[in-house]
Amino acid sequence: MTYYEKKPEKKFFEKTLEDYRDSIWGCARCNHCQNQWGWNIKSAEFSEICPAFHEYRIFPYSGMGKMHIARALLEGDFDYEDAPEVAKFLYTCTTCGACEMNCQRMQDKEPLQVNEVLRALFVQDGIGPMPEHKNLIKSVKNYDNPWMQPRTQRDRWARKLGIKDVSKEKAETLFFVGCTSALDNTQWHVAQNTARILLKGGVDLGMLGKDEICCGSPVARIGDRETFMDLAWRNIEMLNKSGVKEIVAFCPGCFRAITHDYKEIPKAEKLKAKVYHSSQYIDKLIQDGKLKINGELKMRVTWHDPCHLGRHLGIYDEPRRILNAIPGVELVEMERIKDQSWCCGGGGGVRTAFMDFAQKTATKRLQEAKKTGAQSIITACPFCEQNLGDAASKMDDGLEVKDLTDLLINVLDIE
Amino acid sequence: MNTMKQKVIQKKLPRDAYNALKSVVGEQWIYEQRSVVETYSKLSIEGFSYIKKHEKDPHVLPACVVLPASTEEIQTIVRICNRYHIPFIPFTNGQVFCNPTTPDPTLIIHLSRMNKIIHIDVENMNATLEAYVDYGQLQAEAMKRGLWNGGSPLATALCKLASQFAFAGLWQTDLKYGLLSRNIVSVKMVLPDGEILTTGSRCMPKAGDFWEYGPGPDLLGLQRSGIGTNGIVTEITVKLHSWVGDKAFPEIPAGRPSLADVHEPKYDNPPAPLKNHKLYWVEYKDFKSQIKAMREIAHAGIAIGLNATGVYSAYYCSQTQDMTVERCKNKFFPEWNTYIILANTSSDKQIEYEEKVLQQIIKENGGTFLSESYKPEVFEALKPWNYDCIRHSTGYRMNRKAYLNAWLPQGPLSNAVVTSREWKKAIQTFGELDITDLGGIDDTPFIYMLQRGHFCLFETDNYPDPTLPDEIKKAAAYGIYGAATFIKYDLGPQLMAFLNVEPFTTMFPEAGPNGHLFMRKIRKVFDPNSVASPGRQVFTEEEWQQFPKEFKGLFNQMRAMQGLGAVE
Amino acid sequence: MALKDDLIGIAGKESVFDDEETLISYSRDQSFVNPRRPDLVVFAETVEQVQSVVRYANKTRTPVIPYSSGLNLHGGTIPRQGGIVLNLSRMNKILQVDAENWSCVIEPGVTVSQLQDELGKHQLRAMLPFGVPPRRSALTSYLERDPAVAAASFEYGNELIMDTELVLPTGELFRTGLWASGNTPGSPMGPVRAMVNRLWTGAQGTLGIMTKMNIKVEYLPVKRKVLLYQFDSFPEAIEPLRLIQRKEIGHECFLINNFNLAALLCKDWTVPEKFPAPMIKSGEFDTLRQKLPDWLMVLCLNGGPRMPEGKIAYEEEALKTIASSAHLQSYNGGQFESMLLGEMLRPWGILKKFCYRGSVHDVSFKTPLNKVPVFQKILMEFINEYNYPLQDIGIYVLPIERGRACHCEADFHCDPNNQNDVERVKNLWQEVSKRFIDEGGAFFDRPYGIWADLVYSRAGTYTQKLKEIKREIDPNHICNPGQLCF
Repeated sequence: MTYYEKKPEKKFFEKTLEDYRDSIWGCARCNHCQNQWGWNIKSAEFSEICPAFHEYRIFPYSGMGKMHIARALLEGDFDYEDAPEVAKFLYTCTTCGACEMNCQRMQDKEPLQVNEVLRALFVQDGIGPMPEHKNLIKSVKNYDNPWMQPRTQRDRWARKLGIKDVSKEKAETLFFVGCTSALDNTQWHVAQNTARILLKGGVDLGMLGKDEICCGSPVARIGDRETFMDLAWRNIEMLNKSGVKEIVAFCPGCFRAITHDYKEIPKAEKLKAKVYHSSQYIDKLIQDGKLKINGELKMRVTWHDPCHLGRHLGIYDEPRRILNAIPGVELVEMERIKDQSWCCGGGGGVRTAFMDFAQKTATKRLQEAKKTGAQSIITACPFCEQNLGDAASKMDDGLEVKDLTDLLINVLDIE
Repeated sequence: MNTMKQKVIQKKLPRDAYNALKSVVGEQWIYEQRSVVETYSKLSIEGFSYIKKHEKDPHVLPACVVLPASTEEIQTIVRICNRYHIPFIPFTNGQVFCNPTTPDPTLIIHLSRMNKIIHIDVENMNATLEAYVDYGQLQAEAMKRGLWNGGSPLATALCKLASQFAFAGLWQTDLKYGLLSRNIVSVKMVLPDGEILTTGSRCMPKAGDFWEYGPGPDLLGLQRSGIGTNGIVTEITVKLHSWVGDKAFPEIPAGRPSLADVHEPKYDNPPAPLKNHKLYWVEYKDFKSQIKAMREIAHAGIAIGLNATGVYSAYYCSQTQDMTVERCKNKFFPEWNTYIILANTSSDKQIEYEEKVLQQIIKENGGTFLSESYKPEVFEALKPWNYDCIRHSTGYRMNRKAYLNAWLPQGPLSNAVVTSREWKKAIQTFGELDITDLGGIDDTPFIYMLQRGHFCLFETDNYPDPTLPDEIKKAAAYGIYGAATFIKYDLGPQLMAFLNVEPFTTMFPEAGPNGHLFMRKIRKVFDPNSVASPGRQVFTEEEWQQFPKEFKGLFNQMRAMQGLGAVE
Repeated sequence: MALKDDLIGIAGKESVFDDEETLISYSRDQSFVNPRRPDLVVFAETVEQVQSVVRYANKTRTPVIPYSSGLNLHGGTIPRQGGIVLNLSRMNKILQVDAENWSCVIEPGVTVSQLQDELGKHQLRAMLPFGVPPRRSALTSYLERDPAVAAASFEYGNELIMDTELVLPTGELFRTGLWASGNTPGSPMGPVRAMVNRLWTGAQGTLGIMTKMNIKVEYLPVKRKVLLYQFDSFPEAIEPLRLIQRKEIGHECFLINNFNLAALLCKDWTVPEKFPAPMIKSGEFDTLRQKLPDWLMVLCLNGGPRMPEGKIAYEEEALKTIASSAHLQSYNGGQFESMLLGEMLRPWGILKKFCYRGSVHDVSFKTPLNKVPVFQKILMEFINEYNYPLQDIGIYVLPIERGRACHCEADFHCDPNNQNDVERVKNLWQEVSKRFIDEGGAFFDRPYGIWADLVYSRAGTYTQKLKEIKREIDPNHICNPGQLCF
């Protein structure tokens, strides 16, 4: 039975701490939530895996620490007023899942899930989230996106692209753009590139346009289950009603929410369409001959595995295949890759509440990239690109942060 | 939250002590918040801390945690502790023996900021490490340079070498490399009285850090396995040896797992072998043949590692607890087995030669090599060891349930039979736990052949359900009974081969004899003010007088079960 | 006298001596340590007698100096503050040879030659140090960390002590290892801490008196081969040695200069019974010294118990790959290969060097291999100053644990009957020792005699803690006082 399939009795978004009693009592503090899997360590410098523990050096910041805190709270050893600092420990976590990756592999326990359940508990009891997150939640509730942007702006990025509006006409494949790519105009080029590439591949492409709403991932990660589930139910209904057979999501957060989180909502309807990440889909188009690479880019690059795409859902090979298929591109790997990838620092609400820490984490990733000799660090996640991009702009060493589609758009004969 | 449950309230340090400590490390690196100290209180493999959590005993909660960055900061902290009579405990991962030992507010000195490899001396083959450097980090850096430290413990590559100095240090490759004890060049320690001690050649101003003994009487040996009672190791210099394997571990052909498919065995199946290394698995018809073969292999002078795995493969090689239980039940792994690691350390032809010798020995003893043609499913399932035999990573699978109260006897290889026999008696006496190590499947404890077979360590374990305090107490009974068994059957002077802790030290005065009286004197020298985990390894007379009568009674009861007289 | 009578009451009349001749013989050895007579000499034959003498010594605050063979040659058994020399040579049984687990229990009176002979009967061998006198106490040799000639091998030549039994300075019996809690030895760990036995190594009996030791012994190979490589200077040998040791080839390995090699080969000389030895002029020695290479590396390959040729073969092949890159120049020593093979088991032939002038004063220390030339340079400065001929210095360098360190011995020879000669060499020896420490960073891990002052005055907290330990476990200060830093 796999990680996502086990314990069918209860869906994640109805679980409480009690459901993790065995795990949180049994956390054996092996410390693998803080460190790379032993077989993968290639240097002392890059052997740690948990950004929060790496920075702050005390256990409450680690997966193990939260398991121990959870046990104490479950058993009533202390209460909120005894430990007001707990909220900070919970939310200084990007939910990258590195802890859970190694813990699952070692002990079959769930430090990330415990953290998210704790967050949900804190939100429910009015203790969480962090004050900085309240605006994010308010925005999602009021505008269906976390960026305080009006709904009417949602499809501005797509003008002149000729993508079908699925509320008006049928399409086979829906491009689920995601809030960040749609509403942050520094990220529009990614959405536009992706759409152009899919269209070039002959995809019968549609989108929800102004009707698209947040997938719910940011609020799910912050612990606002109620808001998340409301978004999820609405999304499932809308997506099923659209009649599309395939959904291509660009943002790994959306991708994970739609493919995994929605299944963990009690009594939720099943999503009918098959869901892909854009890198998966593009890789398939290239393999099937529907997209032909025609051009060369002389670049030495390294690939950053976004946490939700890679570690959570196992999409490691497709982006690498794409990069290796581009003539002139030399792909060099960092030490911490794939399941052991070092988080960019941007997820889990950290960028909103702890920007300094988010940027320090990003800087460390860029330093790791620099050591490979790469000119650019390539990824496929708007949060990664935002956070790494901000950090790169403050560093002097000329390392560029690019999206995968930034390279592809130059070699696919797209006007 | 349910506010009706009983809270567990930590004690706090006196304010002047707290402020003094804060002035040393800075506000950022001192914590006394309730949730912080919580994360330093339940340990990995210590039943005591689990029981205390069930009993909501505040005893296991430290008062405060500090994170120093240097030996000098630690020295100042220790002096403050002496001044204010604050007991302190050095802390790395928190595996065992790091709970407070007295009801007094106790300080945790967490060494997590001291994680640098200070120097790797390739020419003289050693590496100087700060206290928080672990085996994985050291191996990764050394292997790039054609060297390695000689092994890693089953407590995995994430163990810190400095804390292993204070505790154990038992490796898969101890046949050749012979325990961490054989591999220390020097330590730098802040002693409990605040002095800084360096050992070996390092203690001389110009000699450099290259030789482990002396000058004269050797203090390095005395300081080892002091579990923080004799000071805090801030730097450790370890020996390095030639490494002929890959500079970094090759990727596993099946790729990397994700959270979606992490339990698939294929991700744990490293290719065999690492460059210039080869791992063999052998099963035998019976325990006697296994023992004989192991002795012959050790004496043949071949191999770098030689162990029998007992039940451990059912854990290490199983991705879920269900698989473990299933495999134990079905006796999936061979009851009597060994694994043997060969290496081309001297020459490309070495494995070729040693393989011939190995085959001869196995044939003489009626053993069979597992392979793609003999028990291929078992052979495949054992693949995690291909990497684990060098850099152990799956070790904590044993802790899916709690792993507590191991028996770790020592001695000649023949003690394996005695251990197995007595362990089975213990099971009959105390009953089984959630999972009880039935000794491999029936007979075989984990056997480490050490130092070319001159002596061995054995291990049998318990895995109680950590949510059930009665199971944990039952596991504890195994421990006390075990200590009495060891005395009776010459299995070693301490339950855990490397060291004793109280009340075992004083309740088993046969070890020495009266090893506790000798260690009291040593304690007086190093910790005159009783601030370094006082009473953890040896009681003073006053502490002994305060030892609760009911525990003494329990120990004496277990002693009597093995025909040992009562200790008054 | 009360002391004598009391000790006769413990050990018996035939075991207590206070005659002039006896006292003088125990007052000195061939070292530069000032002679000092004991009050009397007692022979113990049982552990209980040892305990009784120690308890008595505590009661009367009389120093006790343990003495097994007196062949420390560095003043370790000279009673600095008088007292009782406790001679353990009658405790000379090999109590157990464990052929199954390759270990052996010995008493302090067992000599190295006795031990090696007995083990040979079981196809086993002890790992012994180069230049050990055949009548040296094996127990003391291990206890004092005399480096075995196979010390280059990490596995076979080091950390040879398993269990021990000793009498603490206050008279209690104490054991370490598996023995600590039972009747059978069989592992070195414990009690209470893993490596506690190491406290008594290098201690020269100042922290307790060892009465039994379980040592590791090894297989006696049926096939062995000695290879010899010559060098014109020591620095030339460093890289080849490093390459060989990095490949972990061979067990025994050492380098000696032409002086020592000539002494080893000289047929005019025999291994002396006593030290200082009678001086014997030898033309053969002088010729050999001129003829032999300046430096010779001796490397011994040992076959295992099974298919021994196979092991030797692959090691030789590995050597071939090193030979050209390391510029190894073989030396054809065929005529003394079997002699050298014998020396690996009974390594006392080099003691013939005592026949040169009668007395040998070595400066022995540990250093990293690459620093040996530093000490050569310092030595050159001194021998010029003291007009001591370079050709009269014997040098022995033993790589330890595959070359991570080495044990160096530089020998100065003098005629013990010529006071001027003695004085000159003594001054040279002392100055060299001091300069080696202060300039070169030599590590005297066994600080005998005046080395103790040089080392312990520089060792800071280490010295302080040793003294505190001594105060605690030997409160009446009776165990070999005046030695080391005590």
